Amino acid sequence: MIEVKNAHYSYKTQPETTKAVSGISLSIAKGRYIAILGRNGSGKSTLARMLNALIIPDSGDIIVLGMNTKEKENQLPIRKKVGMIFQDPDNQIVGTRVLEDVAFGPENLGYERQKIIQRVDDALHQIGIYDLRERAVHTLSGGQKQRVAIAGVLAMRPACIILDESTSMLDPKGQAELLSVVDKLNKEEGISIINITHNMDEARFADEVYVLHQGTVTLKGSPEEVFTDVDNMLKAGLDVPQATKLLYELKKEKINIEDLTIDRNRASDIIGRLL
Amino acid sequence: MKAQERKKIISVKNVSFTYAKNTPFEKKALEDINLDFYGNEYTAIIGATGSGKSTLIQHLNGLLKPDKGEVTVDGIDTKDKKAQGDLRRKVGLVFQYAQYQLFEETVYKDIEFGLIKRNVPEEERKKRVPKAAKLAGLTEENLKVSPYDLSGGQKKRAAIAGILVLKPEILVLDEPAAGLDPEGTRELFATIQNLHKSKECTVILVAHSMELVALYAERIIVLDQGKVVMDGTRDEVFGNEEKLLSLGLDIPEITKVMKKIKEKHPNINDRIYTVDDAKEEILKNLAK
Repeated sequence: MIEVKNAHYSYKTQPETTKAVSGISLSIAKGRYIAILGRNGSGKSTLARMLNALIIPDSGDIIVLGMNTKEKENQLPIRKKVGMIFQDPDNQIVGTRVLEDVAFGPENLGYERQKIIQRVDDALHQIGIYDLRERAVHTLSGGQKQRVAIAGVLAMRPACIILDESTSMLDPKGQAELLSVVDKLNKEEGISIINITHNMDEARFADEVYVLHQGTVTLKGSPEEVFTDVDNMLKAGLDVPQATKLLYELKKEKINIEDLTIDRNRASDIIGRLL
Repeated sequence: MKAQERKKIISVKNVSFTYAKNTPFEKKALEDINLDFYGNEYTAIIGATGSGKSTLIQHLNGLLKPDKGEVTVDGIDTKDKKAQGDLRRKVGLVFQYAQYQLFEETVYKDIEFGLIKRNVPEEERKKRVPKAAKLAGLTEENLKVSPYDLSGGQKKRAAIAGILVLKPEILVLDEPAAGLDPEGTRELFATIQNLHKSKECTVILVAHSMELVALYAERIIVLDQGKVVMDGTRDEVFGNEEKLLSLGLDIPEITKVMKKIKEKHPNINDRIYTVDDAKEEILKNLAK
């Protein structure tokens, strides 16, 4: 559904240019849940903005549903299909009331009134915030605001939703609320999810994980494969689960640990067998 | 620490606080809180969303005043109007997203700002700014650039340096890891631990991550719906998994691993809260 082919991008600020993405290639199939991990400055937000044509690569290509982001006439259709949720809940709300905010996208597409109402209602129900529809957005919690933003994206009927560190300003409760909504949209509606994060707990449940470091993909695979490559994860400035870290530390002490795992119960069994 | 060695520096007595009192939005945030904080003790405050953590710490430097009860810092009542400046200096409060509150042209000027406001002479400022920056883990190079050229972690350090330069006796941090990546978080908590170990100031912080709390805090206070429901050492708090779960909190993952091992190996100590301690415990048992 999304193809990234050897993409490069530099920010051109005077007096110097800063290379943000240096030769990234990846391919995201329909309906997949992808996590892109990397520390601040690793290029992950730049990559996210390339996927919905907010940033066009200096070289290389991004193909979304067969459309190249480089072609101007493709950019609007791409943005309709690839919705983006940003980090700060307060920076992406345009309406005063929840209802108005969610209706903003479909209204701008020039749909007739009945169709807009239908889409907004559907989106509010799907996200589980229909009872908040008359509320003033500024009275909501951060987690609720992010769900309003998702409903706004959903009302556009996207094929893919990108979360760009969307949970990083939320407390644990808000994080859990947002992630469960996203998971539901992926499982039940078949919407592809690209979650850009540095929180390993969010990446543990992805189908596939890419690790970005200094503008390139340094690791990719299942969460199990990626998180058990402890050396490279630490080199990328990221965390691994404590169970994995314990196995890794014991192995360094020449203890006979056959393989590392991110599964807490398996880790306990592996250690238990040695005792 | 023996009881007689502990010096009480903040006392919170029968404190209640309600937001937007006598309006339809009235919300009770703190209810009859009694707590004493001691010098050079590293305290973490944890609790689910809305439990009153941020409200409590804003009472410690007089930013919020209790509706009922009293808060005293070194014997000064936070309601004393004449003592407000003194209170803000003694108790430095670092907000959750302090990294977004930098505004000066250079990092140096940003750190210096509080000193200028307090009419500290330039000679002294020249000594205190670099010292505070170093304590917060910034380099001399960092001081010359604009705050916008710093990474998220460095910005947070600049904000902390802006507080440390005022030489607070107590440093209070609201969720210092917010918005930082794992490496930035690790480095920041190591810096905070240094401040604590060097007795530079008493550390009180609010944190979400049980793993980070377990790594450093000597005392853990648990709030629930505006009340103190647990208060003790790591062992006392994390030893009570059931209660923490019922409060919407959790124990560190490593503790869960050790508990699981203990099911089959009763000799293993499962009162373990960090990866380093877990490693030591396993190695000790393997050597037997």
